[in-house]
Amino acid sequence: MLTIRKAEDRGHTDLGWLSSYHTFSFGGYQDPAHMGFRALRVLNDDRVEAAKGFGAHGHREMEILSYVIAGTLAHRDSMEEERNVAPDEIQTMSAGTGVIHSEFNPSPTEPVHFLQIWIEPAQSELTPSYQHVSYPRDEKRGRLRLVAGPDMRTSTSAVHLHQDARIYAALLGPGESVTHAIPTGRHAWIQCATGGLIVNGVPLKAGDGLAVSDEARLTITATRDAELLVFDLV
Amino acid sequence: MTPAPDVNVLVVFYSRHGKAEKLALRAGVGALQGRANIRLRRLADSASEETIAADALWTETRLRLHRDYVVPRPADPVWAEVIILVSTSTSSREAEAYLASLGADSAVAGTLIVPVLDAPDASTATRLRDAADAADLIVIDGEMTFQDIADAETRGRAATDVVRRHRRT
Repeated sequence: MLTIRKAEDRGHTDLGWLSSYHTFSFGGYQDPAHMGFRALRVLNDDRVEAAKGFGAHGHREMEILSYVIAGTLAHRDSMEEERNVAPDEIQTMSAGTGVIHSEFNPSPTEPVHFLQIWIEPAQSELTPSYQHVSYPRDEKRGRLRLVAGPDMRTSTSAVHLHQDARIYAALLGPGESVTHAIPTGRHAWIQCATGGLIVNGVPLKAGDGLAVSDEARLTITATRDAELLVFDLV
Repeated sequence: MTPAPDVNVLVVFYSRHGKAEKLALRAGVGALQGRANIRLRRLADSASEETIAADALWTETRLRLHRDYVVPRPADPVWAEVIILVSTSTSSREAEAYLASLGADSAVAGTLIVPVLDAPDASTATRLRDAADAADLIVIDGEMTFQDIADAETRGRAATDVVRRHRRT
């Protein structure tokens, strides 16, 4: 079963300095029909103006990932982690029992475009933790590159998730295809971050998402230069 | 499944060089551990721009603090069930002025407050307590000074328990 979530149907928050499209209910946008998909609870498509950002705020009991499409995002948290996140990097913060962080666009001139992803952890009361990984851009050209998954605590190639979930990133050129097997009982979410795709016959444009259940295989073909994420979920 | 947050905690701090900010962050984390919704706010400097400019670390830290925090809004203390007020002992003018402003808002009277100082200073502690009393706030007493920031986390967590106990009485 393939269920498309069209970009134009998402919730939207416009604060001037922030334009955030919410695939699922978030903040002031609440729609009982869109509360998440499996363990994927939040998928925000954020654009933050130069020298602006989110002030210090708290989180609990959530795996929070930032995937930057363009620009740079500066992160600072109560664990005294302070890092910039750029394209071809991924950051996760496991909020566990509680963590405070701020996120800011450090550029004085350029906006930052990123996806903020929340995944519900399989366990509660975890000790908060932070992980950041960078990888060569070529590793996601023309293939699905694992960027997050379980059993990655000590990995330098992908960040750890306290959930039976995997996230793959890919860059595809026009006409280029990748496939992904979905084991029985598992599900997938495909997020078209930029460009255009056809997934198992369903066309997706930038900002569209596709929920996939009861399908054995994904065939993803780019109709133009595209960047995408595939979530493999239990 | 973990129960949803059920206590509103406002953490207000005044920091020049970052020490009081660290205490405030730990207190906030403790409140999160106690299943609270939190808001973090930084009090504005009362010192002159010339004074701040003469202190390189203060100047640098302030740039980041302005980025990461906003000043308290009038709605914040009304929203809060407990206020954790962290002040540097170097200057408590900012915290005292904030307490005086709370005293002018009848909607805030009776709110619980936990004052915290970043270094031992009995006279400053007394002034903050007196200012809180004058503002009709209920001071959660105890040791106000924390040399170990882990203590601030414990205090933040304990503040949520105090609110729950206070509701029952």
